[in-house]
Amino acid sequence: METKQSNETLPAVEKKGTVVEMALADTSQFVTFYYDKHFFGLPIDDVIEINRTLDVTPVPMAPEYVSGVVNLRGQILTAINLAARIGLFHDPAEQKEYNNVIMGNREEPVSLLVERIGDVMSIPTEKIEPPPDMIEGINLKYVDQVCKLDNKLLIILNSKALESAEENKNKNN
Amino acid sequence: MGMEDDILKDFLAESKENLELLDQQFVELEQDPENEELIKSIFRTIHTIKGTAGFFGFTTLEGIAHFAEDILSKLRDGIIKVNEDITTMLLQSVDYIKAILAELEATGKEPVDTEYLDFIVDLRNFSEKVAKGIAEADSGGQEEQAKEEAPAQEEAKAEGEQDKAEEAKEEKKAEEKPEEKAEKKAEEKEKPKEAPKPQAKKKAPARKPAPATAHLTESHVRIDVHLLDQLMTLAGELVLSRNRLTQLANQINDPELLTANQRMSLVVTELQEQIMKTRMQPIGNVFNKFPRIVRDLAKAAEKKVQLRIEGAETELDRSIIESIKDPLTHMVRNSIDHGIEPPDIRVQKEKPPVGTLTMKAYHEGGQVIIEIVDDGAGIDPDKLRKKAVEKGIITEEQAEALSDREALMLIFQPGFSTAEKVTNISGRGVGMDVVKTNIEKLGGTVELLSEVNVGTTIKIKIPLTLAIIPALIVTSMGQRYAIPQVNLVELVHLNPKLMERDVQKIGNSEFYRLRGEILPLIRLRNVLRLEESEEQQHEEGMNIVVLNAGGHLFGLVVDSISDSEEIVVKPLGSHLKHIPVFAGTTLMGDGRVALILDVVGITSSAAAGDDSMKHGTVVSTKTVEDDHQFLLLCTIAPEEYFALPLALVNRLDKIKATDLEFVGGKEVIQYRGHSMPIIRLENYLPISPLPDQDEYHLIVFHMNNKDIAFLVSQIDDSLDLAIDVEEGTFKQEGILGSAIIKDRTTLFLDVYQIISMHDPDFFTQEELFAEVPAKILLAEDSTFYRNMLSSYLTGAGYDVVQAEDGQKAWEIFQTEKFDLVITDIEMPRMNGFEFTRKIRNESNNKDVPIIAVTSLAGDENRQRGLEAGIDDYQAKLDREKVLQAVTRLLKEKALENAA
Repeated sequence: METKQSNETLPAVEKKGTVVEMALADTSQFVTFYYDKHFFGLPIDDVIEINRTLDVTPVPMAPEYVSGVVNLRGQILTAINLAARIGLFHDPAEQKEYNNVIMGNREEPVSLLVERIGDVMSIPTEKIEPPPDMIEGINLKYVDQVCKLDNKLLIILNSKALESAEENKNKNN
Repeated sequence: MGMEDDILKDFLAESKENLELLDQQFVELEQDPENEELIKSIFRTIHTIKGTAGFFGFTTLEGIAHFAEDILSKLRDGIIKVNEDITTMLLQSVDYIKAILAELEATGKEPVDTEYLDFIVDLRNFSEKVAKGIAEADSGGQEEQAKEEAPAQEEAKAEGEQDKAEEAKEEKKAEEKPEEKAEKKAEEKEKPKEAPKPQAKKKAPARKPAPATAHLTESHVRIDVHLLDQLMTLAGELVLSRNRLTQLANQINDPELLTANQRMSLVVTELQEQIMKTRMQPIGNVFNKFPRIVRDLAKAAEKKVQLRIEGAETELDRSIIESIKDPLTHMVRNSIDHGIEPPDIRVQKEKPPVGTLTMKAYHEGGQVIIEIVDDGAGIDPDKLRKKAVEKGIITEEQAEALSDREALMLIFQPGFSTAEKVTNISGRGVGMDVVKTNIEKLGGTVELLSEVNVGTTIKIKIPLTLAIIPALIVTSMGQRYAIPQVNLVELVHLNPKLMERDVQKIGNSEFYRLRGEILPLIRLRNVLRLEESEEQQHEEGMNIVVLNAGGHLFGLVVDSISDSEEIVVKPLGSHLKHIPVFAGTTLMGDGRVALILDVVGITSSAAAGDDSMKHGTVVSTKTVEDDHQFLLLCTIAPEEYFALPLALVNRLDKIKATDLEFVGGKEVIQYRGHSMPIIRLENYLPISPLPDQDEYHLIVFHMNNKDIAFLVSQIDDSLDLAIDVEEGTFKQEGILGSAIIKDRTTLFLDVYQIISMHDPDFFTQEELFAEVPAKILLAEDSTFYRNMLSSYLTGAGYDVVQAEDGQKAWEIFQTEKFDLVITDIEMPRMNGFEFTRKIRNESNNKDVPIIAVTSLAGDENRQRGLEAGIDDYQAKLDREKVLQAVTRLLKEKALENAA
């Protein structure tokens, strides 16, 4: 997975320009989406596609963050609920309409369930900062970087952490 | 012959592809001479060609490949470095190989031309030179050398030819059919050495390879598997679109549209089927090639090998079949070459002179398992450790730290070969590392189990990206699940009335009386934790899917049962793999996903999830899985708890107090048209008496063709437990021991003993007691089973000596003379197989009959047991069978002694 924006080249600059003005500068693109009041982004290279209509088949006894499985044109993907994954409150019983952000590696992509899809944003690399020490309700393990926008904070997620299954140590083999 | 043609065709097609690649790789190698991966890859290609050429008896081809491989192996091991000379020579070899292949394709025979033989000689000399380290001569030196060393070369040539000729003869021995051909070839080989044509060499290959570009016949086309994958997926999509369209057509309800749609529907279905078919093949396509291969290999190695093939019909994805072929060949080769011993040695080891090699394939969960089992010498982990240290693969400390199992895995290291000598068949340290690489490429795993002198099992597990299995679709809480048909025994639907009668609730568990047998029931919704196990609302009947989970049956209760369908198994993602209950997923016709249930996983999960078992279970720390048993828990007087193995129980029933009768001083009851004796346990055990009740519970046993029942006040529960009882405190007749179950001290009833106490004649039939009771050594680690077995053996009049594991038993065995041995298989310190082997090989009472007992009779163990020298195999709880076996074996022994 190539993440172009490396941390070292990030002088934490405190500039408050608009995104559009700086489009010509060195930028990175992010697919953005919402969950509750939070605004998230994933590097565009980590996202395979966005799909609005996939039926989630629940998988009993699955880890809590797994909502089930979906059928993406014959390929069966694990559906991960973003909120449950990163530690936001969510009520599994609540029936919501979700959008699927298909992401990760092509061998085994996963579907990230989010509430609302936003735009694809180009963000100047220099505006991207390391995450603060704490973001309320979110496990920082899943946060790569952040970007302060005019009126909100874009939380750039770490796709590797999101898709990784390492928490289930007891593999089948 | 057809089969051979097939193999030849495959070989040609494959070799050509590989050779094309080789040209490229050699060039790369010159740029990057240090690239080990590249050398290894080239080496493997040549190795494969050599091996296959050997099978067909293409001696020239084999010769070239052999010497080329020689050079390559030195490169690989870093003994020599790549230089232009070497590359040239190797490229020439490739050219010659191509030319031969082209000829093979055209005529089916190797070309008969002296230039090939000349080249072999050159190659051989070169290889020797390289070995001696002269090869660093400057690049132009080749021809000069050729001139200068002409006489020497001639000599070497002569030698080389002789070697070759001898080799050819050896092969001739191995090959029976092409006798004449081979002979001619061998002769022709002798001739050309007198007329070397050194000039022609260089040009010849350039001229010859021309026909190599000739095409294979057009009857098959090679298609990229990914393309098939895509087709498959698209076909799936098409089905979904079709379904949507059908719905719409039905709404619109236009007759023309409906007809058109129907027609399309048919075509789509067929299309999907056909596309599926393109990818699936029975593994038999590969297996079928082995009888011949095995025969030839065995001949060449002068061994006797019988090949058994099982599960040839197992369908596998074509891509997997293709990629599995080479690894399988390697492994079979290894098994015959290193595993199975020559007949004389086998006889010395008291094995049948003919070794058995078994290849079997089966589906297990979402995987295909392929096993290659030989009954050969096995692999000695210590030898491997030593070898690995010698070869510098690991250090001595590392070697010591390895477990035996890990040590066995060393065999998969590149450059590792245990064969003492390099043979034609195998043993350049290539085979196993290639095997592993290839299988891992498929996302599979290789496991190696081996026991010295017993044999080796190689188990390959390949996850299926695409495998089709028949499955039963069931529903629970509105979701569909697929159950692999292999596990399915039968389906039972109960209406509420039958439910009332035949389904019994004991504690938290339910049982169903299926034709007199007691079948534990597991509710799918409970297993899946879909609902907290509160009492479900009034049900209208019950659907039971009777399943076989590794030898024992249980009933899975589901909401409804739909059709049986062929499903495509797809693996679960890494986040879900660990859930034991699921084996994979599949797509249903409507495009939704259904989960495939893992039947074995369900039983273990049900046992673990059962609330009743969560608080204070007995389960011991070290008892082996083998000792799991369903136990029935009951009470007689309040606060006194008893347990007995459910497997012994025939039925459970309730009776009214008024039904009890006294006949001839014994208590009986009219039961199913017979009068059945009733046992009150307090009459035989020092326990509080059964309080008077209006209604009693009966535990009915059917033994020795008779019914008999225990009278208890309450049946509390049944549990699937690892039994580990303590004797000590409660040791006495009729009690096997005690254990803490659910925080309560529970006594284990010795059913056989109690029945015998009640009616000493109950079990007697024609069992003949010898004047001096036969002496039996009983090795069993579980106290519970040891006591039970001992109890009924003693009851039958035998003199029983107990031992709590194989080691102990072996010590006792050496000090006394026993008439018969009964041993458990899984025991600490020394297991039943080892114990048996010790007796058979080392003791002075070698022919003592040995019966192995187990709680689960698996065929695999049985096979191993018989190989280890066990005479009979019985289930521990089956008193009658065990006793019959004992009598029979003792009789046979007596007859033998008399003779």
